Amino acid sequence: MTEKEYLDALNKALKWLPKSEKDLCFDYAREMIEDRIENGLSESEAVAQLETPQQLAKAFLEDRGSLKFKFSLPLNNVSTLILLILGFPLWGTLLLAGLMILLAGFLIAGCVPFICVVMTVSLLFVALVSISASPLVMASVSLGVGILQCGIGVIALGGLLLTALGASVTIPLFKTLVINTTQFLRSLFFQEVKKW
Amino acid sequence: MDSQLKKGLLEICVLAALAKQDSYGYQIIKDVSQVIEISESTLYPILKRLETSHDLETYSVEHNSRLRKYYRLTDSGRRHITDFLDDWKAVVAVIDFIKGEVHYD
Repeated sequence: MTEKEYLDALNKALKWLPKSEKDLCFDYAREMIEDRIENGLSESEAVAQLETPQQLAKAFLEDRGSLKFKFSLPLNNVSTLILLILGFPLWGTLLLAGLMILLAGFLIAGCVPFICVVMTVSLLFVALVSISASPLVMASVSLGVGILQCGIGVIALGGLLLTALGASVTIPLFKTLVINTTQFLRSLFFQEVKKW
Repeated sequence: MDSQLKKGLLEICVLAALAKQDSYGYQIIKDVSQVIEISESTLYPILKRLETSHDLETYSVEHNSRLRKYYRLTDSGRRHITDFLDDWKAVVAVIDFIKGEVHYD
């Protein structure tokens, strides 16, 4: 495994950490590899001496402490428990509705990158077929229709570039949206208990 | 070795590794692993905890066109080591008592 592969794997294993914390862990691991290389080891030997990226990530994540539910519900109290059960039709449906709205939001937001990817694939198909078949059409049908066919292929190629660009922009945006929303929701209900 | 005991010992070993001079991650691992096993994933939380408790401070130095993080022992860290050694004297007395009672020697 190369240094880059190791750090990429570590990065992937730590993807849910806030960037500042991730950078600290990342710099720590990189320094450990580079100091070993400076000490005379080869890149692969240096990486092999470390624990796997997953083990290291696990240690980093465990070190962060745990999440604790923010609200203390007096569940040992019988009357609260009864109220909670009786009230379920109200709070349960509201919770469900909230979750559904959230899901709908994700689906709508996810449509854009999804459409971009689908368009890219289908336009690629159109462009390939149209351009490669146009000489055949020129020969067998007529020159005009063949040129038209080739033109359609070129237009599809242009469209393909645009949708591919669209996909490459919207996919990371969608990913950030999902991560930020889940982190925000988590912060509403849970708080972090620092270990130290 | 009991894991809690090892954890406590590792912490003091890391502090001790910084007693003579400031050091960096890999050097600390090399120094400490002469006496007790330590890995990157064990060292990281210890350094973080010691930094939070102000037993050590960090600073970065440019080294071979990259930044290397150095750790420096604070007065509180030095006190931490002496406290440990004082406590340990009491532990040794207890061990001597245990040994005497069960005639292990």
